[in-house]
Amino acid sequence: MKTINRGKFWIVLFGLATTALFVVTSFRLYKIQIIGDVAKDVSGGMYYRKTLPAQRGGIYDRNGKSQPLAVSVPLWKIFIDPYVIDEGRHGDVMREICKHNEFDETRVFKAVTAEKGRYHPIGETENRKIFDDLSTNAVLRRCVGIEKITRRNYPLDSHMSHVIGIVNSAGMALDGVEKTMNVYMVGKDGFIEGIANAKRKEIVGKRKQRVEPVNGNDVFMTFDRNIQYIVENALDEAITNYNARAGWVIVQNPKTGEILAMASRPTFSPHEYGSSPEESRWNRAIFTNFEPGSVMKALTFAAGINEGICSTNSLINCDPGLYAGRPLQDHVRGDITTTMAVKKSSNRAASRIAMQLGRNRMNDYLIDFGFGKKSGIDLMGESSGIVTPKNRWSDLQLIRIGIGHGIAVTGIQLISMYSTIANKGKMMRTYVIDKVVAPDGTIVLHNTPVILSNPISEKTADDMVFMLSTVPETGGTGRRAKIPGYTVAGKTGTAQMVLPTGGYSTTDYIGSFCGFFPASDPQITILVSLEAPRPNYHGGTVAAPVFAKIGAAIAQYLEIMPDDLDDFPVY
Amino acid sequence: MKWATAILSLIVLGLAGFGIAVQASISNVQGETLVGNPHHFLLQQTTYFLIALLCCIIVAVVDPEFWTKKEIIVLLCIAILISLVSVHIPGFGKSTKGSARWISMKGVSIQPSEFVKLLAILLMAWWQSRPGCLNSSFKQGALIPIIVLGIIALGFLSQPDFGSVVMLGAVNLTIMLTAGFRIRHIMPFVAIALIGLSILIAHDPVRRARVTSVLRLNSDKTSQTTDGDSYQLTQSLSAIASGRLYGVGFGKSVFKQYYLPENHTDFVFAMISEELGFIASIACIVLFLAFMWCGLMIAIRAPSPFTRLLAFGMTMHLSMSAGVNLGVVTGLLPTKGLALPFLSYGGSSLVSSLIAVGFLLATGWRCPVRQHGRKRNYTDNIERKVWVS
Repeated sequence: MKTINRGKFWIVLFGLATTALFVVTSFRLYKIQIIGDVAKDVSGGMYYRKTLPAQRGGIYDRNGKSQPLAVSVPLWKIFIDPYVIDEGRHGDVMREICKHNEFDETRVFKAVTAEKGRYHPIGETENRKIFDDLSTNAVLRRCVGIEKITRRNYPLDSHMSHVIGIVNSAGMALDGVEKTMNVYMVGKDGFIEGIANAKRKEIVGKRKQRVEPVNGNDVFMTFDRNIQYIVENALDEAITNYNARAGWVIVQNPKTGEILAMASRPTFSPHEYGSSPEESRWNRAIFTNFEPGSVMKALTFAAGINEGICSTNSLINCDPGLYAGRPLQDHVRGDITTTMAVKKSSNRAASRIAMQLGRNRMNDYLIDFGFGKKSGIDLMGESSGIVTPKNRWSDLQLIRIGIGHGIAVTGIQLISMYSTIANKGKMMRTYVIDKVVAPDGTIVLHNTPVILSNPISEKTADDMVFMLSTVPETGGTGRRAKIPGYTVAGKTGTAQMVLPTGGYSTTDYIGSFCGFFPASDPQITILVSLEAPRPNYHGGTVAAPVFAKIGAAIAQYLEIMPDDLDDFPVY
Repeated sequence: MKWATAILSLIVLGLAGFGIAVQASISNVQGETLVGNPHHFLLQQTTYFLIALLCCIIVAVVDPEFWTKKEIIVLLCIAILISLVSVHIPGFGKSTKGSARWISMKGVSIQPSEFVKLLAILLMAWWQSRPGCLNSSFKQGALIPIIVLGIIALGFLSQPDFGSVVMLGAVNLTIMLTAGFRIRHIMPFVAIALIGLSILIAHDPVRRARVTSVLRLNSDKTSQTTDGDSYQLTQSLSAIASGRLYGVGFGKSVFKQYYLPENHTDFVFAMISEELGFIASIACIVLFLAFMWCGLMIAIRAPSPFTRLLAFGMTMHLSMSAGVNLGVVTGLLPTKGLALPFLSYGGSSLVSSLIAVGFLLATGWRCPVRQHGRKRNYTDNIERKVWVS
C-alpha cells in the first residue's frame, strides 16, 4: 500500500507541475495579447498599395475625336523569365511563343536563351487574349509574365510632331502641346490600399480602400488635320524642289487668331525622339529668329498711311541717292505711287517713309504689332525676336528696319501682323488650343478670340489690303502667289541670313511670302519661309508658289467663295 | 470514476471538433497553394478524425490487461523496432525538410514516432507493474528500462527527431518515479542524458540557434534576426499579439497568408489566439487542464498498478505535449516540431492522441466504484479479466 500512496503523491506532483506550465503560459498569453509588450509590430511590412494609373488625355484637332493627334493606348507588355525554363526545354518554349506570330523571333530567341536577368521583354500587344493563350500553355505557364503599360501613339508620325510634342516612355512630357497642356492631360492616379500576404499579393477581403483614377482631360486644338496634311506635303515638296535646308509654314484664321496648321522642316518622328538630331526638333515657325526682308515693308507702309505720311495714290520719289549716307539699291526710279511701291517692293520708298516716321513712331508700331516679344502661344520653344532699343538706332538702322533688316522676327509674329491687316486692323490673340474637355464631357477650358490691340485703323487696313492685293498681279513681285479664282493680298521677302560668326552670308537667303485671301473678305493667312534655297532664293520665286499651292488646296477644302470670277477656272 | 471518464471524453470530442473547425478557418490558403484545393486539409482532418475515433473505440473496448500478455508485449517490441528502422529504408521512408520521420505506403504517410511514444509508455507501464518486479532494485528498477528507452531514443535521434527524445524521456521519467523507482538510481542517468543533450545542442548550429533565438527574443526585443526559427517565432508572437482580447475574427487571420510557417500544424495555437483572441486561448488552456486532471483522477482510481501507470503515462504524454507546444508557440521554449494534441493538423498525431485517450477510457470505465467502509482490493481486479461495461 505504501507504493500505491507514494505513486499517488507523484501523480499529484506531476499534475501540479504541468498545471504550473499551463499557468505560466497563460500569463505569457496575457502579457502578449493584453499588455502587448512582447511581440514586435510587424503590421508595417504587411501594408499593400497598388497604383491605378490614370489614362492620359488625348490630343485632337478641331474636327473632334474621330481622328486623334496623340492618344494613349493600353498595352500588354509580355516578358520572359528564362531562369525558370528547364534545361533542354528552350526549343519548346521558343516554338510555343512563335506560334502566335506576334513577336520578333530573334528577340524571343535572345530572351529565352539569356543567361542573366529574369526580365526580358519580347514585345507588346493590344490583345490580352494572346497573353491568356500564352499563360495557359503548360510549357510556358511559369516563364511568361505580363505587365500593363500605356503607350502614347502619334498617328501623324513626323507630321505636326513639333506642335504635338512627345511623352517619353516614363510618362514625362518633353515637348510641344504635350508639355504645355500636361497639367490638364495627366489626370490623377488612383490606388488600392490593403494588406499583403507574405508573397506580396493583396489579401482578398482585407482591402481598406480603393480610389479610382481620374483620367486626364482631352485637348482639342484649333488645328485642322486636313489643312495640316496639305501644308506638310506642300512644304516637303518645296524643300525638295528648291533645295532648301529648312522651311516653315503657318496657316492662320485672321478673324479669330486661331492657328490652323503649322509645319517645320526638318522634322522628326515622335516614336524615335531620342535618336533624332536636335536641329530636327526645333519648331522653326516659332523658334527661328530671322531677318524678314521686304515682307516687313507692310508694317512701314501701314504705319505711313496710318500716320498720314502717305496714301495709296500719293507719290514718293525713288530716285537713286544717299539714304542715311548710303546708296540704296532698288528696281524702280522716279516718282511712283505708294501702291506701285508696294507692288514693286521699292526699298527707297520704304526708306523715305521710315525716315519720315522717325524712331519713336517706328518703334511704337513695332511694339503694337507685337514684335520683340513672345506671342504667348501654347507651344514650347518660342523666341521673342530681336528689336534693339530705339535710342541705339542709327539713321541707317531706322531705314534698314523699314525694309526688314536690322531686326529679327519669328514666323508667328510676321503672320500676326498680316492677319491684323486682314482683320481690319484688329490684332487677335494667336492661339492653338480650342478647348480642354474632361472625360465626363464638362469643358474645363475654352479659348475664344480676344482682341489684343488695334495698331492701325480700319481705313488703313483696307488701304493696305488693296495695295497688297496688287503684289500677286502681273508686274508685282508675288506673281506666282496667285490663286485662281481668288484675289490674293500678300508680300514677298528675301533676306540674307545672318552667320553665326556675325555678318551676312553671301550664299544663304531666307525667301518668304506672307499673305491672305480672298482679299475682299480675308479667311486664311499663310506664311511660307524657306531657308537657304538654291539656286533660286527670292521669296517671289520659291515661297510664293508654295503659298499658291497651299492656298488653292485650302480654298477647295474649306469651300471658300471665290471673289475673282474672271480668273476662276471652269472645270 | 465514470463522471471523470465522461467529462474527459466530452473534452476530447470538443477539442477535436474545435480542431476541425480551426482547420476549416485557416488551412484554406495552404490548401490552395500546396494542393490546389482550399478544402483539402479540412477534408483530410475530418477523415483522420473518423479513423482516430474508430481506433479510440477499439482500444477503449479492449481490456487494458490484454496488452500485458507475453505475446502482445513481444509483438509490440518488434513493432517498435520495425517502426524505428523503416523510416530509413529507401523507397519506404519519406524525407521532408531534411528529416526522415515518415513512412509512406500507397500515398498514405505515417509518422511512426507518434505511435512509438505510446508503445514506449505502454511497455514502461507493463514493466513496472509486472508481478515480481523489484522496482527498488538498480538493475530492474533503472538499468533495463533505461537501456530500452536509450535504444528508442537513438532511433529518434537518427531521424533526427530531437523533440520526441525529450518528450519520451520526460514522460517516462514521470512514470518511473510514480512507479516507485529510486531517485538515486535514476538521477545518474538523468544527469548523463542532460549532459548528452547539452553537447548535442551545442554542436548542432540549428538546435543552438533555436535555443538562442528564444533567449534572444526574451532578452532583446529590437534585435532583427533573419534565421528561420527566429522568423517563425516572431511571426507567431505577432500573430498572437494581434488577436488581443476577442481576436480578429474566425477565418480572418492575416498570418495564415504565408506569414507564419506551419500555421496549420505545430503553430495552430497561434492561429487560434489570433482569430479568437485571449478568451479562446485561455479556454483552450482550461480545457487541456481539465483534461489532464480528469486523466489523473482516472489514474489515481485505476483498478490495477498497470492501468494506473498506463493512464498516468497517457495523460502526461498528451498534456505535456500540449504544454510544451504552447510554450514553444508563445516563445517560452525552443522550437521543437511537436504537434498540439487534438488541434494540430496531422493524421498520425490525431490517431495516436485518440488511441492514448482510448487507453484512458478503457481504464476509466473499469475503475471500481468506491464502496464506503471497505478498502479496495487490487488483487480482485487483477483477477477479473473479463470486461464488464
